[in-house]
Formats: sequence, C-alpha cells, structure tokens
Amino acid sequence: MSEILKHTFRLVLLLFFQVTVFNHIGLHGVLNPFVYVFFIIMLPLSTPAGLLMFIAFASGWLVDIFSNTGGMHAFASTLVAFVRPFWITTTIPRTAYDDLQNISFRDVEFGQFLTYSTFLILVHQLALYSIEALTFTAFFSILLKAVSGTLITSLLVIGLRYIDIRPRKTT
Amino acid sequence: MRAIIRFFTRFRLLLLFLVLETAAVVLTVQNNRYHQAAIFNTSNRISGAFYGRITEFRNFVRLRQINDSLAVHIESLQAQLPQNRFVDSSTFAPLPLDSTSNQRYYYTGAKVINSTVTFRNNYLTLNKGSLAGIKPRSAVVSPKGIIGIVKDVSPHFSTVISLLNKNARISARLKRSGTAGTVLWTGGNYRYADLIEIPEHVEVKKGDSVLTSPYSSIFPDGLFIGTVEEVELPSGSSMYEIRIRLAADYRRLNYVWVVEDRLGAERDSLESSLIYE
Repeated sequence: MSEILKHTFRLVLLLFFQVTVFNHIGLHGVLNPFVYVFFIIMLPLSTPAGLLMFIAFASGWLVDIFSNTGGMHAFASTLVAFVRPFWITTTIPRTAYDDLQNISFRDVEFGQFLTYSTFLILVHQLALYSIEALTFTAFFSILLKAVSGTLITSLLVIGLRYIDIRPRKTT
Repeated sequence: MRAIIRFFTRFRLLLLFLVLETAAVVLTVQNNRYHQAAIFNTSNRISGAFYGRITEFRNFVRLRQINDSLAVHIESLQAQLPQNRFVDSSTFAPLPLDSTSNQRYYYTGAKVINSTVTFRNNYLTLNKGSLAGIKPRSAVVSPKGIIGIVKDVSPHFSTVISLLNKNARISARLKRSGTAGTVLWTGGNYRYADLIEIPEHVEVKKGDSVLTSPYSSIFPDGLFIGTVEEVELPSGSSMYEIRIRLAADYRRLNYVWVVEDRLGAERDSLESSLIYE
C-alpha cells in the first residue's frame, strides 16, 4: 500500500513540475525535458506488463490534458511501457536479482540504470516527436530534438534518482 | 474457439499495446488541427486521384453523345456559310452577304451553370449576362432543341425561364401540316410536354416533328422542339391533346445559345398597337 502511495505521490509531483516548469523550457526550441518519464522508469520491476501499459497511458494522457497535446504523450509513454519489460531483461542481468518480487531499483548498479533509463527516454522522445510531425520527412529535425531531449531528460532523471533513492537507503 | 482464446492470451500484451496506441493517435488527431489537416490531405489526395479517374472515364463514355451534339452544331453552322446560302437571282439586287448586315438573329454561346427540372417552375442560370450582350426576352436554344426564354440579366449572369415552367407558353407548329399550336408544360415528367390548340381536322401522327412557329416573337422559325408521342381527342372537344417528347434533355444541358432577335423590338411595338384598338 505504501508502495502505491509512493508511486502516486511521485507521479503527482512529476506531473506538477512537468506541466508548470519543464513544459516551458524549450531552449532553442529543441531542448525539451520530459521528466515525467521518470515515473514510468521507476515503476516496480514486478509490475505486470499489461498494468504497466495502462498506467503509462494514463500518466501520458494526464500530461496531454495539461499540455493540450491530444494523445502524443500517451502514445510515447505506452510505447515506453511496451518496450520496458524486454529492455529490463537485456540491461539488468538476472544475476543482479534472484527474486523479481523483492527487487527494486535501489539494488541496480548506476551504469545499468543509466543504459536502462537512457534508452527508454530516447524511445519516448523519438515516439513523441515522430507522432508530433506525423511524417518522416523531418527526420533530422526529429533526431536533433530527440537526442538533445534525451540528454537533458537523462541528466534530470539521474539527478531525480539520487533525490528519490538516497533517503530510502539511509532508512 | 480454444485456438482463438489461446491466440488472444498469447498476444494479449501486443493487442493491448496496439489498442492503447490507437487510442493515443485518435486523441492526438482529434485534438490537433495540424494532424487533422495532414490526414485529410492524404485522404484527399487519394480520393482526388480516384475521382479524377472516374471523371475521365465518364467523359470517355459520354464521347458519343458529345460527338452527336457537335455534329448537329456543325450542321447548323454549315447552313450559315455564305456558299450554302441561296441567292435568289430573280430579285432586283442580291442582298450583300457579309456577316453583319441583314442578320436578324444573333447567337451567343453560353454555359448552363445551374438548372432544375424537378419543380413546377424551373429556371436555368447562364454564365453570361448583359456584358456579353444578352438581353431579356431572348430565346435560349441548344443543339438538340429549344430551352427557354431569358428572364433577367445581370452583368455576368442571366436567368432563363425553362420550357418546364408554368409561365412558358411557346408558339409551335407541326412540321408536316404547318398547323400552329402552343407548347406548354403541365408538370410531371421533364422529358414530355403538351401541344394544345391543334384542331381535330388536322392529321397528326406519332413521330411528327414539332417546331417553333413564325408566330413566336421570341424564337426563330423552325427550331426543333420535339416529336409527337401521343395523340388524344377528348370526347366533346374539337382540339387534340397531344403529348410531345422534348428533344432537349433538360437534365443534361451543357452549352446553349442565346438568340437575340434584332427585329424583335420593332415587331413587338408594331403588334402592341393592335391591342389598343
């Protein structure tokens, strides 16, 4: 129960900052951090894939509602949630955890978490800008936005991870 | 059945994924005018190409009709050529045969841009008006048969009282006997009209041609109106009720000619003095 509360609280907080602060950064029109992806990244490893997609869709849609973007974020988030289970099995070796139920990101090494999160953020960014343009003619523009967005978001996500996990470690 | 269930359970994640993504795309497209435009542009390009093909095909199928009407038109033009005119050598001095002098009827080509056939009183709109020299009370004819009478003109358009109108009464004659009557339309089928005031002693047969008569102050003499379809003599009446099949298909009008009678005003003013006697 406290787990659910924790994730809900995280989602609300991330949404709040996403909508009020990060949506309005848009440095040079290309540097757009979407930190709410952190919520999807940090959902428990044991979350069932179907539920994961539902949650991702809902959280993306919430961002859409507040940013007036229709379903673009829902689209990108659902894709991230779809890719996540496969990506976890490839990036985080099974030797790192024996019991899937008890594992949390606290036990995942930094390097593994970095590759895990950065790829998902890249997927999210590519999906987001692709559906925004709805064409592949603007390929380099999409790529530039996606890569720069991935860099800034990854940076923020790593920072958030430390804010998020540190206090727990001390407990 | 079990196979279907197994299929769904095996691919349930993929199906869920696809459903959610479809929902997201629908939401995006509904929200965003740009996305709507992008989708509609694509669909318009596809449907546009499709409709283009259809129009091409229809035009091809109609070539025969178009050729027929053009042939008729060429015939009428040939009849106007100077070498095809008859010069009466017995007259004192032959009339000069240039294109402007002594020409009574002037033809102006126009396109029908609007027309109805379904009402009791039908009208047409032409794409030429007073700037093209069109005047009210001019006759409107097509290669196949007469169409109507110009009612009003604006600088660029003119309205035409179709023959399919309560107010249209056109003086006509039977080609074979020369007997004059009146053609009018009583509603109903737009391919048929009535010829009245033909007395019972005149011989009328099915298939007889009905032409405009020289009594008309609007139409030139001898233009085709239609053919006799049905002849009936009501008991106790001395006049036939004749149903004629109209030559022009009012539903498929395309190009027409507006005929101006240069002597029409002179004739009208002379004849109007008779009324007051």
